[in-house]
Amino acid sequence: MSGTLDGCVVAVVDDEFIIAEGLTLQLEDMGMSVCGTAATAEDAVRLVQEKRPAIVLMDVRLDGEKDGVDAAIAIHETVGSKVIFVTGSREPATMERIQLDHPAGVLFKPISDWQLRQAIDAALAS
Amino acid sequence: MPTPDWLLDVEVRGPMSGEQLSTFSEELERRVGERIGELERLNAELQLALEQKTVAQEAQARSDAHFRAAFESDAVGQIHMDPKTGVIIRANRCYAAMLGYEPAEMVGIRGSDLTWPEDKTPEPWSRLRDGKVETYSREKRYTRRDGTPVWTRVSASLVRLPGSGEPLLAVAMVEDIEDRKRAELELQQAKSDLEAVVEQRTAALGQRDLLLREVYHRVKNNLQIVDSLLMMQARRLSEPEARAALETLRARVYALGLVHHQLMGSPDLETFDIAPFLRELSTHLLEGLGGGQATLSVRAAPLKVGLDFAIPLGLLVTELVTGAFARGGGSIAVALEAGEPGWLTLTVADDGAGRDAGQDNSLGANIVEGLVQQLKGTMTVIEDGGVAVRLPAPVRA
Repeated sequence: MSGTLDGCVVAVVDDEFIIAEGLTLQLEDMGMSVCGTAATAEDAVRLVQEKRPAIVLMDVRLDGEKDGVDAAIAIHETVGSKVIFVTGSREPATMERIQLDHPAGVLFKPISDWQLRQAIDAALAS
Repeated sequence: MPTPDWLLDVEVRGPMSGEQLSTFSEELERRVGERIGELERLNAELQLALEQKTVAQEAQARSDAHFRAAFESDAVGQIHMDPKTGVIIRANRCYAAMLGYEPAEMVGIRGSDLTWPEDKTPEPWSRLRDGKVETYSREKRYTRRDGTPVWTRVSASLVRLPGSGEPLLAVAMVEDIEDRKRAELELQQAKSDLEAVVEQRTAALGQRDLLLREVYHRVKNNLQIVDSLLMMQARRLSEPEARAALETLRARVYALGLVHHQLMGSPDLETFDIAPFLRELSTHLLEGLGGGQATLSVRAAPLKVGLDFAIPLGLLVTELVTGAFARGGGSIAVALEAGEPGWLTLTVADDGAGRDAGQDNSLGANIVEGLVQQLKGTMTVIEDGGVAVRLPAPVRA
């Protein structure tokens, strides 16, 4: 297991409670610390601005009018955390939209421990 | 009876002598002979002229016959019109019949009055009349006597007087193109009908693609929920064996997710190449199992597969690779190869302890057995370690 992830602070954004919870456990099992979860773009931006995590796991589809890309752009402009998108979709429209925010990584659900670790390693290295 | 003038200049005075009489008689004969010769010449000239006239008349008659034959031809409608007014002077039977008239009824009607209102345009005619063009030809509809339109092709020209160039006669050939026009219209209709159908189908296909992507998206999201639930449950378990069992469940969930991920990325949303799928699945399984040191080789021929084949095959590979790793295999080789036509061989070979596949894991063994059966295959244990499954190739385009 990579040691670089120990203590890394991550925010989890997903409107599905169980998925947010599962990702939190996954991150904690890898030795990272989750600073909070959010279900909407607004809450996500607020959470990240307050806690300033190194990494944000961002679902693309969120509750409310704004999506994960909107939140990621706002985060990129204000805090600068590395945003890794988490999506169930690989359809071109979603992928195009994700590219608007120069993502640090994209993960497709369901996400294995190995993929999650690799993506965070890569994001921190970039 | 008047005296012929040629006799007047012969002077006769008193009784003539014998000599005089003889001279007179000679002169008379000479003159008569001259006149006869003249008459004969005239007669010959007259004969010639008469003959020539007959020839000319015959030629005229023949020409008229030709002209009438051409004019009355059934093949094409013809009208002659006054070039100043456009009034019909004569129309042939073909033209009259085209419009539902008798030829005689058409005389005196203006040709343009018979034109279908929407097709009336004075321009071609005026260009012809003004000498800008020698002939013109256009497609237009005439109005039949019963009020219905008939499509025609009209070719018109002017006959002009030699010298002054004054228009003498307007001549038009009128061809019935109703059949062709109808065919054209039908073709156009068929074409636009076809285009509409294609558009509908394209829209339906787009709709179907959208729905399929949405379904796959939701399937993947739900698999993530299942995965999260498994993780949450694992947290509550203290026994390492129980936690390990949940980890193997996560691997199976991942295999299902990967199949849907491949489907989402395929152009038809129905089929994908099994080779990269097997590579990704095997690599991921081994990494996930913490087998960073184990070496993995995956060999697969390109093969288009659908969901029905990929799900059981993916789950089977998941069980076999997991089993191989569990037996301590440091080198695992996955291969899917085409054997005899219509058949595939899946081998998962390892250099582990050589126990029978799944012997240490009753659920795994059960799943393997069931999936091999579902895929209508037969399984054999490889002596050096691992298994080979011979199974029919999926029947699919």
